[in-house]
Amino acid sequence: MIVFSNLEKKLGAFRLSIQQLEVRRGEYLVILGPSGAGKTVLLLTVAGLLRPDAGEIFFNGLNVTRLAPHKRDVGLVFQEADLFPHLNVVENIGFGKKYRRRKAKEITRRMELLIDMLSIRHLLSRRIDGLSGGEKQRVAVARALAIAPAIFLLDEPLGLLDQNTREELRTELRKIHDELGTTTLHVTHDRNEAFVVADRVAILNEGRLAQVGTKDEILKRPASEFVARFIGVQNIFSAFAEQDDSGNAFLRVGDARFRVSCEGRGNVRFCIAPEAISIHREMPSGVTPEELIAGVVKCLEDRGAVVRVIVNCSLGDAVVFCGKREFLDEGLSCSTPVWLHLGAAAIHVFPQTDAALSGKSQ
Amino acid sequence: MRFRRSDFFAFGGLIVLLHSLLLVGELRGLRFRLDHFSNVALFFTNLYFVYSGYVVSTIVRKVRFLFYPFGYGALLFIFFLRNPDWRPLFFPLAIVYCSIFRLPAAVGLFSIFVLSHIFAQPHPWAAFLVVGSVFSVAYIVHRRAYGLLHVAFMVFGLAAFGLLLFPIVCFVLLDSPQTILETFAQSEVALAMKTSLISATLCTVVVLLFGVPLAYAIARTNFRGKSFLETVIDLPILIPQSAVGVAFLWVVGSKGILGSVVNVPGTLLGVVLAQMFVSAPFLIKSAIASFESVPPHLESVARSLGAPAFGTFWRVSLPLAARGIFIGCILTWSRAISEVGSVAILAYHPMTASVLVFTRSTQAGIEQARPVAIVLVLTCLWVFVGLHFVRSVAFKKFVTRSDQQ
Repeated sequence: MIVFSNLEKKLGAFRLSIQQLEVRRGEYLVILGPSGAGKTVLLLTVAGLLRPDAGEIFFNGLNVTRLAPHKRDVGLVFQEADLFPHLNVVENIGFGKKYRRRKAKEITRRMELLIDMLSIRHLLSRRIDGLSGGEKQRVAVARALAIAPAIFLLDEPLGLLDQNTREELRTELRKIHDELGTTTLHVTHDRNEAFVVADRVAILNEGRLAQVGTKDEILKRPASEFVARFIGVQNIFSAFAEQDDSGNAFLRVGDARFRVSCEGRGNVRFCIAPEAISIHREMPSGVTPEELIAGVVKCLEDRGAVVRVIVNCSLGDAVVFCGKREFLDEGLSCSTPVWLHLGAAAIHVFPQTDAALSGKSQ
Repeated sequence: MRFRRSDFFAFGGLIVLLHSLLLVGELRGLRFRLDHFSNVALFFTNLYFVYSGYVVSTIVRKVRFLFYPFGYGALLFIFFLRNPDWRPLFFPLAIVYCSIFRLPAAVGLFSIFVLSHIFAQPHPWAAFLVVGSVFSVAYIVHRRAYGLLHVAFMVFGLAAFGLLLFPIVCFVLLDSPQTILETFAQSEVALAMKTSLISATLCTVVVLLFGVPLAYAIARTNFRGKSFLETVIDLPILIPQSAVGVAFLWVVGSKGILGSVVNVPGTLLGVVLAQMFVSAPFLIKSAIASFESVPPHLESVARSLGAPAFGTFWRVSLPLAARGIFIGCILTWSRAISEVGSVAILAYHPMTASVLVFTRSTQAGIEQARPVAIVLVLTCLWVFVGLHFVRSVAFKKFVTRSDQQ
């Protein structure tokens, strides 16, 4: 549906550079990244409001790189809703009708549909300045989708809403997408929002794609340390990768050794989910002693059903989630010496280092 | 508020008591006598005093209510009993006093007004202005609505500005409508007014036609030298008017370098040209500011919805900037109609009203110029008020950005 090819855009010191990215027809793609990553620039380039310095954008195989914004058939929603203050709600929603005379009937029908889907029928004759933030954003969504755009662009649409409205509206955005099937590009810096609504997520950092993939792909196998940190992975450590004579790959941390599947050699970074680490007072039996790491409990945080334990060990500070019952059975407290057992299967070695990221991204 | 029957009796009793006390005083042959008119007027004033006191007593606190009869008594004593000459003044003052008693600030200003007229002769207005300003500041600060600095700046600024406007107010009010109508009837004056109105309007329309697109372009672009361009637009305000007239004459006068192509002296075109030069910056600057306050995102959204660049300008930017542009129009129109220097040099005829006032004041004297000036001021005032009314009705102020976020 949308294909970016070697796209380059320079704005002051910032440089957006997208080698290759394809958004499939009917897909909900979220562009996730910290502020200043170039998410909005990318979106504005799709909308035609910024012209790229180099590279091409294709919609359905058609090169639109130099097409004026009003001919691109995209619906756009900004963070601040940006409704036209001199028009009322229904005039706002119907703004695009004038420019699509041939489709006027279809647009009217679609408007009715959207008004019901977003439950804004009671607002239709209201003035804009009387609406709440959530209502404004609903109207903005209806306005953008009323023209039946081929592509729906959302730039931090929930950024200024309060927590409850935000959660409500993001569910609705997903629902609307499921019903209408419009190819959607949604920009956000909120990883929860991204993983709730998206079919696929593209993580952008400093103008470059860090990883593109589904929620599971990204959460389980972050492509780099940056991605891991950005999506909230806590246990990120250094290790030394080596191979034995039969070609099996191992990670060595101090005396411990973990069997992993990775190709590299030398110093690597890896991450492991807190759930995959178990904690023991006595050296546990029935596990390979090589997979044990000794440490000292640094602090405890009781979260009800589970206890978040931070253990200082040769890896650094490891975060472990420990069930309440195990916690009581083990009788853990601060400064207790413990053994950590790392499930080797859950270890994920980052395929790219962040320095090597530039140049080849997906 | 509901009246009970006992209230009526209480009213009646009070009035009769009050009035008979005064009458008794008169009958006892004290220092003053009441004529029939004063008697009746006094009765009704007392009636109003008691009625208004009843209303006030339901609103204000008890302690303050005790001051109500006290103030009335003071007025009565000063204006009615002590100075029989001032008696006609007593009735309106008493009625105003009773009406405003529940507003403490108004009562304060009222007392300052009265006292300054009694004690600060022969400059009662000046005294009122000064003491009243100080009182207002003190009062507002006491109520803690705003800080001392803002209130003091506001009040003293307004007081000074009031002094500036004072001559115009006197000027307009202190002439009989008869004189003004007669002045209007003079063909010379009527013609000059007509020329003024037509040329100023024409000038505004022309500036509107080229100024608004220019302003939009400036507001939506960013290039090296943009601030220089904006300074250039301000330039006409800074050049002395007489110099403007001479410069134009040199170029498009009968012997000017373009004189054989366009010859403007003595034509309406000349008048409009001179007026445009001095007044265009007002509209353009105001339009630039208005367009800049329209969020660019609104235009982006309009473009994405299918509106071409001009459609976006016409349906989004222009309506949102309309209010500011209209204010610019009012400024430009006012500046155009008041222009004398350059118009008189470039195109003395057809004579505009401003030029006529100037000519008469230098040749025939102030007395000849005054009625024309009054007519001009009144016309401008009416147009000004009318346009501002149109603005408030037709051009709403839009909140383009939500400030609370």
